[in-house]
Amino acid sequence: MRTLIDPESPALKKATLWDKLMRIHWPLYLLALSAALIGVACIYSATWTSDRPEMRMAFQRQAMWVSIGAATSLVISLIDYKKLLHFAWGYLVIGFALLVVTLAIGQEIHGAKSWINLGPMSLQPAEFTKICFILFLSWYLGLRGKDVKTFQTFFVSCAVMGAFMLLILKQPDLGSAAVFAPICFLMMFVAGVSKRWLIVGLMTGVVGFVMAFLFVLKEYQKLRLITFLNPGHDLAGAGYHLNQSKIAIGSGGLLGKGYMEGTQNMLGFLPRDVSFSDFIFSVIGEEFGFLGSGALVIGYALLLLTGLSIASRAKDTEGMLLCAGVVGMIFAHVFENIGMTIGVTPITGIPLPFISYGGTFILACFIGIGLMQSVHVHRGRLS
Amino acid sequence: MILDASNRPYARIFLAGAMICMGMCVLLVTLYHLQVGRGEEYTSKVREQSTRQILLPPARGLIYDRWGIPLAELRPSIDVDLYLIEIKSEYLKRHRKLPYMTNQVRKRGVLQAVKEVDIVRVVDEQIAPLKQILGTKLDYDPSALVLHQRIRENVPFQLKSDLSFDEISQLVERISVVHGVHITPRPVRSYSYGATACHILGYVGKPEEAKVLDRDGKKIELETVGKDGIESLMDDDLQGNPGFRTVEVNNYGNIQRLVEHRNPSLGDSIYLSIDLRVQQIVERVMACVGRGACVVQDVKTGDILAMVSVPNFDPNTVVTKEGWKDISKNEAHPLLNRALSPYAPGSIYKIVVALAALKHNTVDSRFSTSCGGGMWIADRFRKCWSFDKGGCGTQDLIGGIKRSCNVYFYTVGIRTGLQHVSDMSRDLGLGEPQEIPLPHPSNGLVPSLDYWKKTYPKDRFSNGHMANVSIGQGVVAISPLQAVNIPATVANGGISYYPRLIKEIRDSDGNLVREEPVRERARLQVPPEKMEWVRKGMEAVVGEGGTGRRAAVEGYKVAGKTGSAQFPTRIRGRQVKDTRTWFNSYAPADEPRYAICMMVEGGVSGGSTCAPLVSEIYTQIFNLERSSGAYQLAYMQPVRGHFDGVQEIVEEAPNAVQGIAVPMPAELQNDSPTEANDDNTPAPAAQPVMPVPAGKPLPGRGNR
Repeated sequence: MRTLIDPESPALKKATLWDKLMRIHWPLYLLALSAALIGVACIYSATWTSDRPEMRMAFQRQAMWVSIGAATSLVISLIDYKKLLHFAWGYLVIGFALLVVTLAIGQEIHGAKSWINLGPMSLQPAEFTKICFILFLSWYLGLRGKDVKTFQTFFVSCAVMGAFMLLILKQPDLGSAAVFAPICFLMMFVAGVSKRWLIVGLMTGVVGFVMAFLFVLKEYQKLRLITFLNPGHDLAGAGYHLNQSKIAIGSGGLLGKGYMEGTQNMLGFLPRDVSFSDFIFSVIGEEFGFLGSGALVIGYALLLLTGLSIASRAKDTEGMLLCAGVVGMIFAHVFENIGMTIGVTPITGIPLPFISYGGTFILACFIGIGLMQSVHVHRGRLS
Repeated sequence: MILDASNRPYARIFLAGAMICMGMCVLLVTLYHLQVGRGEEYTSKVREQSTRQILLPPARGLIYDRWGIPLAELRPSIDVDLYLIEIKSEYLKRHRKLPYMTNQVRKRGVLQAVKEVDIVRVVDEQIAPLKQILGTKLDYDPSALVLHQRIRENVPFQLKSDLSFDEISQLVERISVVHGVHITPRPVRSYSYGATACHILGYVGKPEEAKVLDRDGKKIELETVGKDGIESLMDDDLQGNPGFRTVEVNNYGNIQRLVEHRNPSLGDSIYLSIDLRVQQIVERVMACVGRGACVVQDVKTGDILAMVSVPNFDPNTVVTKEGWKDISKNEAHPLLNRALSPYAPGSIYKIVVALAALKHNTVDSRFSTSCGGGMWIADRFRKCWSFDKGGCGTQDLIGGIKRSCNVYFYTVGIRTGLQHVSDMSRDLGLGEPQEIPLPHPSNGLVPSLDYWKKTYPKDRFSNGHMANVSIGQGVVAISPLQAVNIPATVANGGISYYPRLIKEIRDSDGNLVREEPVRERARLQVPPEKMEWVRKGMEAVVGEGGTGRRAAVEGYKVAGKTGSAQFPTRIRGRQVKDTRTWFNSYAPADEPRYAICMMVEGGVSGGSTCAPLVSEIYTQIFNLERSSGAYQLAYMQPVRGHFDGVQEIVEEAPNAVQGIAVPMPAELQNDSPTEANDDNTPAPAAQPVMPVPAGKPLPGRGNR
């Protein structure tokens, strides 16, 4: 049993900035950063042949966002997460407010009102709300303490999750909404919510999904699901993305075609508007082959397991749940994103953490890493 | 808050880690399956969708005459080509699905309903922007397109041939945005001398069914194939290898870069034994004939110097819609090569009987018969043609040939017997395979005893039958090409050659690929002094009082034999006697170089119809020899042919009685029809059969 200390103890407070820096989990940080840099390189590879100049410059903007994210992550690492959790209700309010504002004044791109235009850049608030949700739920589940097993805990968690999901579905962004479920599930599971309720939750989810399929989902979303279940269906239409993605990845073979040599991407068979964002993994698979893409998957696994190991060493439940939540978020994205490019999961517009193009999500991921680092830095006695 | 042991967070975190690992393993395994397991399959899919092959049409080899003058050449045509597969995939991208229709398709003779892409609709949509420019000039035959899709989708469909410069410049701008449509220069066949030698050359067109050439282990799908003549029979040699351009295309089908380029090649060239000058001399002379054929052979080698059949056609236009319509309407069957079609030879066959008799010593120079206008054979009186004039009198061999006396040859034929005569025929190639690289209807027929027994088991071969055979009537049928070998062999002293039409084949660099040797068929083994009698007889035919004296050429001695055989038939609903008249000859008689056989349908007699024409041909050939070979070659218009009598081009008025060489047996003279009445002789000479053209050509799509 390790020594646990009172977070309010003078020892911790007196810790210098340098002490905290030394306690940062640098391997985790480097894993995330290198993934992000690989992402920048791959975005370049995916866009350098584009005929649109703003596409060709995408890697520069991504590099900027990665720098911002990496810095933000470091800053957050040094802030005690306990302090951050003081404003738990605030996150909930901010999260809802962001989504409502998005619905009100959001910009519609690709048929989804997911963007807020802020002059030179656009934000996807839904990505931030994932962090808000994780922060709030960590606080709430930690607060419940021994009552965590009760139905009330389960119900409140699910209600908050449902509220977020409904607001995001309204945009509509099925993928981002769906990500809340695994985050919530993993956090409740780690927090110790009764298995009975978890199973009930899963079944409700399935029933809800079927109802949604029948009454809520838009035609194109249904088509994606049909395509997932029957990949050969309509290769020129709904199945086009999946088919071309599989061709790209499959043709990469063991060693890949080489950096910037992916023909599927260069010739535009992999649609250019998604090859640098949601389908960046197809580019990686084609250019770096099984060795490259497999290494990336293993890299993610390492990152996630590191996150869980930090969770296991957190000094309190909130810290543990914070890590679990971030792990849940990253895992959900990784599994869904890679899965959809190889036909394991249905296609949804979900980015690949650290790698896909998209400033907001990069920032959100790095904030997540920062939170895990904070838990790690503040895990116990500093000196 | 302190972690509670009863809460067992470690176990749950561990479980969460296990779930994550499982998820990652699912991804890894799927990736492995996709990239390593099925990598090859996806690699080929990439190639399939991101490269296009544009075929560069090959050039057919050329066809030359014996002196290297090209008869069949190439000229460039700028065409608009449609790549159907590409066009269909474009359509698929736009509309998500292709239109289908059900067509009735004949498969192995049975009509079946086949579901096919409605290619006309797909293509019409694709070329709509081009039609805005060129309008109706881009109209095409929908049925040709449907057929093209069915049998050779992989080769481009030629939407329009022979674009003008204006049209090219108008199209070039727009064509880059219309995928699956390319402007391609294509070398197309061009026959420089029009109808000249059309039956030898044949013509080219689109294959009726998918045709694949296996060359060096590679399969070549053919765009154009030879349809008749040398073009058809030597197609494999003439075909060049197509080249291709493999280009990389993007998802819109725009060409990004060149991956591979292979130039098309020129096929092998064929050097014919034909002498173009002689060929045109004969063609000009034959132009006055309604229907007929003429073959000129080199007596020392068997080389065919000219082979003409009229009516004929222009191979440049035969596959066009109008050209084909014109030809199929012509009842004289211009596509039929009459030089290879068997006809009853009539009296020219008497030379064969004479040779057989001399070889087997059944006659000698003193043997003679006395002709009073006919003779009794097996209780029937058989007339000589001279019946009305009181007979030929006493004739020996030379006189018998000169006067073409039936009585003499009845007697000699019966003395010699069928077997010897048919053996001699076989040595001369009569009734045998024609051994010429051209399509031909049949071998002709000379009955042997075996043949007779097999075909007419109940009818003993009687002297009456033999009498019929002896004068070239009855079942005997030979083609002009076979017939010309008779005087050629007599002329060279008894060596029977196979006809040689192709001298050699050279590749595009001029290197010899194959040489066709001069081939002997047989030696007749008729002693020279006896052969001399036959030659004397044939010379006498063209001499004073001979049946073929109008074949005489000033300054040269011509030897020949006339013949005619009546053939009752229906022409335009009328029962008529269609007389096939022959003149079979060689010259100069003292030093023979050429043998000419001419056959004219609807003539009067060999002596009056054919002999003057043959004389004209010899005169011009000898003029050519004297004038060191200068001859004005010309683009020949096709001869349309007719069913009238031959226009007379000779100085004397035709005299049917005088000129007639071989009348029919008496019964036939008066009542038609036919030989069939006579001696139960079965079927008359083989009727020339219109060769069934290999299906309807694709109208308007020809290589012009």
